[in-house]
Amino acid sequence: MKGFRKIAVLLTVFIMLVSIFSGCSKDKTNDKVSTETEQHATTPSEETNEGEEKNDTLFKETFKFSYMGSIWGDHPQEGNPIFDELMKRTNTEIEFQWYPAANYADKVSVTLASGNIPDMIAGASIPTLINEGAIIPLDELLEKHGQNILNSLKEEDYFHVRQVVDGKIYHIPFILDFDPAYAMQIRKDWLENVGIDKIPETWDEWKAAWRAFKEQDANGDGDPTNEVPYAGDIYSLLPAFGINVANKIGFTLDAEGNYTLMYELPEFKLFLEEMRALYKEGLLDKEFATRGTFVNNPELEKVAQANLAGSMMTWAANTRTTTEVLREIDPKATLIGVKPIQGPQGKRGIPSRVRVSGGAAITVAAEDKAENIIKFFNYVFSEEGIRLMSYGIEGVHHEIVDGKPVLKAPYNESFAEFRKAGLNFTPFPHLFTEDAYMQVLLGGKTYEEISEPMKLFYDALYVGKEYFFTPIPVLNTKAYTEYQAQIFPKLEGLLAQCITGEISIEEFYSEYEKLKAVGLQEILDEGREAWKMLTK
Amino acid sequence: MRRFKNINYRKVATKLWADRYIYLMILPVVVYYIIFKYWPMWWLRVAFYDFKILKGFKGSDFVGLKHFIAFFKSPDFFQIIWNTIYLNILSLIFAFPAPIIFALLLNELSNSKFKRAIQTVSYLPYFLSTVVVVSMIKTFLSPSIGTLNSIIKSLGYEPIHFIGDPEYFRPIMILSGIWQGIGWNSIIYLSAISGIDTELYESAVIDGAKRYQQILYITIPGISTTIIIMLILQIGNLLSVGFEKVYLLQNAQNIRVSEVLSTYVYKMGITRSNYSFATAVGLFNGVISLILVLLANKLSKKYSEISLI
Repeated sequence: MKGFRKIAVLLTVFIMLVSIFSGCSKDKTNDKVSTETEQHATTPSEETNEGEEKNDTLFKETFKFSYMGSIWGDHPQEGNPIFDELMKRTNTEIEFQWYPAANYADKVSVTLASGNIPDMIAGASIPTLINEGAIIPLDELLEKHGQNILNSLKEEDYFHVRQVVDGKIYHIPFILDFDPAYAMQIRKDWLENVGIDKIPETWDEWKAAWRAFKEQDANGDGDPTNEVPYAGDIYSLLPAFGINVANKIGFTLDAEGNYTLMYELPEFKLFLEEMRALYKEGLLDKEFATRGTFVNNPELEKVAQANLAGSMMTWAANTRTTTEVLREIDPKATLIGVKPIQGPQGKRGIPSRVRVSGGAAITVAAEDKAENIIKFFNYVFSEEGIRLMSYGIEGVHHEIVDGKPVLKAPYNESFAEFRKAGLNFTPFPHLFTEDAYMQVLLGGKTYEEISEPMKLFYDALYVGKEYFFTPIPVLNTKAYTEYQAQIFPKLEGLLAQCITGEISIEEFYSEYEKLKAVGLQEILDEGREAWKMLTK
Repeated sequence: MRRFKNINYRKVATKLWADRYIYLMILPVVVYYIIFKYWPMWWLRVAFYDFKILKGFKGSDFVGLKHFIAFFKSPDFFQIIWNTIYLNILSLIFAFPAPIIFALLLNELSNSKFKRAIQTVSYLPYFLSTVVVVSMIKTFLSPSIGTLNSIIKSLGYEPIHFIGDPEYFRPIMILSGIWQGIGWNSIIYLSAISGIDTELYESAVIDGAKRYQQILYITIPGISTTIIIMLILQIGNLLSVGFEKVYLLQNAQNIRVSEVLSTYVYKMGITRSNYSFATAVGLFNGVISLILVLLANKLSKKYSEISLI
């Protein structure tokens, strides 16, 4: 019995100590290395004996590097045939370290603090990495070895990839070469229910439609009070006032092309007046501060799919998903994409997709490997690499028809299937083509053959094309980095207070001016100078 | 020094060896405190540097009190401190007594099955993650799809945007906190009640004391030490508000009242990787909390002769 007690005590102590120290250890379970690639790496002699693969690959000797990134959705963490093929073609071995998107920034910080820095870090804040001295500039390397990458960038993309701290490029981006993304949307069946035949275009027509949605039982559920005439955040209505903004921060250009904040524009006052009036009348979403395309999109989707939202500005794909969900109960339900609202001064606009996003940077730990890493990604951005990343492997994921790659089923049936196969792998820099996007969108069918909800999505993508504007990036100047955390949440709060009538427009501007003394003016000044430097 | 001279080290060693398994049992706790509580204190000096993770202390600039001054000078400093303290004072007034009252009520239940069922049900919310709790709160209170607003609308009133109205933020925090913690927090008081000598109740019954008189004159004085110790600890947390729930319930409309120290530190320190600033605020918070605990302890010692140290 005494012996048993001793064992029990020792075992308990051991388990408790292990629990304590396990928190300090590195999580090896997330380090994924392709097993196929391991085989390649461990059997180079076989390849040499075959005498063919060595000459076809990018590197004569297996080039190894580590890559840290965050992964989400349907993207596969392991067993990605596209990467296996890419590594085979280039004779590269990549040690992937994938982490969930939630708290990824913290994971990056911890990784930097541990001193065990991977060769590349993807999806992290580039200004933060620069500030920590963790990554290296790539301009010279790109000029020498990355011409395919540079050729993939359009002039306007440089505003998003160049860093304001020194105007240099620090990361290789993911590029989606497809402009359409958002659409103004309205419930066509609601319009019919309230007796409106014409799709609203002007500000007054939209207000009339919203009033009708509010006053009548537009969704026909017997409760005339639960309709949300315009659902979502207020930022999505800014383009109707000539303020081309596609986020809640609000950087834009003034009439002279100077980089500024939306609050500085004369049009903003009219916007405030109109929003306050809409809110007072009950036409604006009561929950505008907590749901919307630029605030919390899943919440916006939820209210749309609950048959409560009459109109909104959000991702064009929402027309399809919402219509499909609603039609399970009401076969008449139809959410259509329409031209953007023409505001009180006749202005209208809809943000296009920012071509470049995410991206991966080379860390100081891989300075000696940087040249080869750029060469590797230069291959990824070559015609062959683009085809592999967008269409997969010939015979497996696509076939060549009339000299063009055509995706095979099931990969062209949905983005979920497509991504599960390792295609359109957004956590990894590459160029994804418009043609591949459209092939997946249409599921290998013609427009006439696709389902009606799919047609709604397709139409919504292009309905506002003539009013597309490219969103202005948020420039991470020194002042912005220093003060943004205290200035912008405060501004957001003031704006919400102003819209709900808690404070007047004059009080809003008075508080806004006060913020200039505690950093806002510096943000404006440095932003203006940085924009000049980037556009020079 | 004389005291140490009189120590019989051989005797101490023998005693230690005899109780070795007890000391071994306490080892993980000691290790935990050294690693996660004491060792990080050495890193508090991060607050006095412009600390760069990759460069360490040698490569980072010493900036003295720069981050403390930046914190004191931030435009919403007083508002944030007030929001934090006010929320905690409300919690002290409403949420602190709730588990005590609940424990007293539970103690009065004579049907043991019913008592156990109530206890189990009341413990359950404590085990829900904050994210789930906030999601439930938001859904329940939503003006468009929430149950509460459906009731309000059925009574002929306009729906209320509870989550967006600053007036409702604190009541939501306090009430949901009570709901989530009342059962779990009552355990300590129930165990204190169970330690009261039953003979006292028997004597009181003989003397003709009614139930409420037994509670008032036996149960409450019997658990007063526990109550005061818990109160002292709670006062020490006046500047600390659980981060997750506030952050998840926060939005542009209620930020005026919902911005507290922990959310501010998160935004200012963690999201922009300014660890020095976050450490400075954390250190400020720690020092104030220590002062408050010592103060509460002293007052308690003076007036009730019960204290932690």
